[in-house]
This record gives sequence, C-alpha cells and structure tokens, in this order.
Amino acid sequence: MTEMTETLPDVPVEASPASRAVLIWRAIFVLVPLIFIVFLALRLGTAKSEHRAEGLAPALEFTTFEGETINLDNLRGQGVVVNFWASWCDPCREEAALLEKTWRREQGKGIIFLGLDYLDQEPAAKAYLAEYDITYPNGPDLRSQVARRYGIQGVPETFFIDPEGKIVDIVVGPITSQAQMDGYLDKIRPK
Amino acid sequence: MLQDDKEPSVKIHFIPLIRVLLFLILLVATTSAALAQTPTPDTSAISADRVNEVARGLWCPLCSGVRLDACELKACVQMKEMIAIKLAEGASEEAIRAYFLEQYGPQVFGEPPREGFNWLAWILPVVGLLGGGLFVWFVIRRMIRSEPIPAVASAKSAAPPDDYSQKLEQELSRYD
Repeated sequence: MTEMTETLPDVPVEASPASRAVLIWRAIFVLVPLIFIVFLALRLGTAKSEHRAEGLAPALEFTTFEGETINLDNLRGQGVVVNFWASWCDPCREEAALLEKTWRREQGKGIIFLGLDYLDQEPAAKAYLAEYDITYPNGPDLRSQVARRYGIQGVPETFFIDPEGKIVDIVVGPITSQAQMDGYLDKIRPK
Repeated sequence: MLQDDKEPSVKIHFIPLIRVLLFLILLVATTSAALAQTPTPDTSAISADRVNEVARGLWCPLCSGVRLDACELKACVQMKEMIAIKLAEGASEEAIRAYFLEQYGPQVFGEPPREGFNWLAWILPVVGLLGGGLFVWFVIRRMIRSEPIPAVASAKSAAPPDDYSQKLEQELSRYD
C-alpha cells in the first residue's frame, strides 16, 4: 500500500482564497464564543458580589400600600428588619403574627420593621395584612427590584440590618420563636 | 319671661336640623367607607377562556417555562383572578400586559427585554445562524471546487494503464 501511495505524485498544497476564508471563519467560530463566555463569566462575577447581600445593605426604596415612600438611607441609626413575604407563601404565615407582635413591642425603641411583598397581587396582599393585623410599613416589591438586589432565595426571607446599615443576619425561612427573633434583634439594637 | 318664651321654639327648630346633620354624617360615613373599600368588579361575566386567552401571553414568574394559563400555583391563580378583575373593569389586553410588566418585570413575558445587555440574547442567534450559514456555504463551495481532484487525475494520466494494473495486481497478491 505504501508503495502505491509513493507512486502518486505530490499534490501541490496551495492556500486558496477559499481555504483562507475557512480558516478565518474557524477562528471567528472559536473566538466569538470564547469572548462571549469570558464576558459572561466577568459579568456573573460582578453580579455575584452585589447579589448575595453582604456587608453594607444594598439600596432599598419602596412605596408602601398606603403610599408612603420608605428609603433605607433615611433609617440610619436604627436597626432595620426587612422581611420579604407573599400572600401565596404558606411558611410566611408561620411568622406573620410573631413579626407583628415583635414590631409592636419594639416600636419606638430604635428598631423598625419593613415588609416587602414579593411577586404578589395587591388585593391578596392587603387581605393577608388585614388577616394578621400587620401595622408596620409594607409595600410591593415592584419588578422584584429589591429582592434581586438583596439576592433573596425565596420567601420568607428576613434581613437584619444594624444602625450603620450593615447586614448582620439573613434568615431564610420563617422565624417561629420569639427567642430566635430576639437574638437577631439584640445584634442590631442601637447602642 | 320673654326669653323663656322663645327658648322652646329655638329647640324645636334645632331638632330637625340635628336630624339632618346626623343623616348627612351617616350618609358621608357610609359612602366614604364604601368608596374606601373599592369593591372588586363582578367578574362572573368574564369567562375562563377569555382569562386564559390573556394568560397565554404571560408566564409564571415563579416557575421556569410555564405559561400562566397552564400554571396551577396559588400565585398564578391570583394573577388569573387579577386578569379577570382587569377585564371586568374594561382594561384592554395591552393594558393588562403593561400592568403585569410593572408588577413582575419583563420575565413575565417569557422573553428578555430588548435593552442593554439583553440585546445579546436577540442578536446572537441571528449572528450565529448567519455565520453558520456562511461557513457551510464556504465549505460546500470549497468542496465543489476541489471535486475534479486534478492531482489524482494527473497521476492517472501520467502512469500507463498497464503499469498501474501490474502494480495493483502485485499489491493485491501480497494480501492473498
């Protein structure tokens, strides 16, 4: 077999314009996805740092169901409890009464409670608030902007922010015991 | 005495006035309470089909890849109820879509918004398709051009048929 191949005259190898184009296209096909992947990785990297809230609490501004605008920056000097909830969320109901009870106890003592209604409908949300007689400021998290900024994993989720505006604790799931709640509050009380 | 005589008549005039005032207060109180409650419109005239027709254009914000009309989550049921309310109020489909966009963001439409970084999601498939098509076209064109294989053809014409046959026979006999 080798003899036979040897007898065949060598084919002159010339880089035709077509093959050059194929090479260019191959390079493009490799480079473009590569650049895209690097770009995505960089973007995911930066997004992650602002996603899962750590350190200083991300900006928070929302309008309550009563039309009052709440801005976290204006609450510096107070401990802030930010609770994400929804009327369709059953575990949220497990902590609703405790949150309201604690809010009533802590009102005027340097701790403020805020409720953000996540992916919900206003009539259902208002019915939920009425059902548990919730009086602390609550409002819809429109377009889930705050939820995204805080990187919540679901509802309920509660953030404990100290008077300097730093997130001290994040609780995923319902807080069902007063002792547990008080433990978190003690860390964010103004001194 | 004169004053004493006048007092009862004043009281008599006041009684109907107080009644009117009380009636007005009650009327204002009841109407304002009714207005404050803003009762939800009657949705019984809105058929489930009509609701689903609108819901088909929206996606469950909690699930991935589930259309609202096919979703049975409590959150989705609430959304469908809201569609019925909006339809009963006379809202157009576009207005309902705009409402849900404001509430849930663009993910409720199940497609990336045509802005900023998200444009990549729209552009890349087209670029990929065009690029891929061009690549395939170039490759096919190259294959068609090189089909005559001039080198083999010249080899065939250069070697006399007899020699070639002999060598072929020799090669084949080695495998017998």
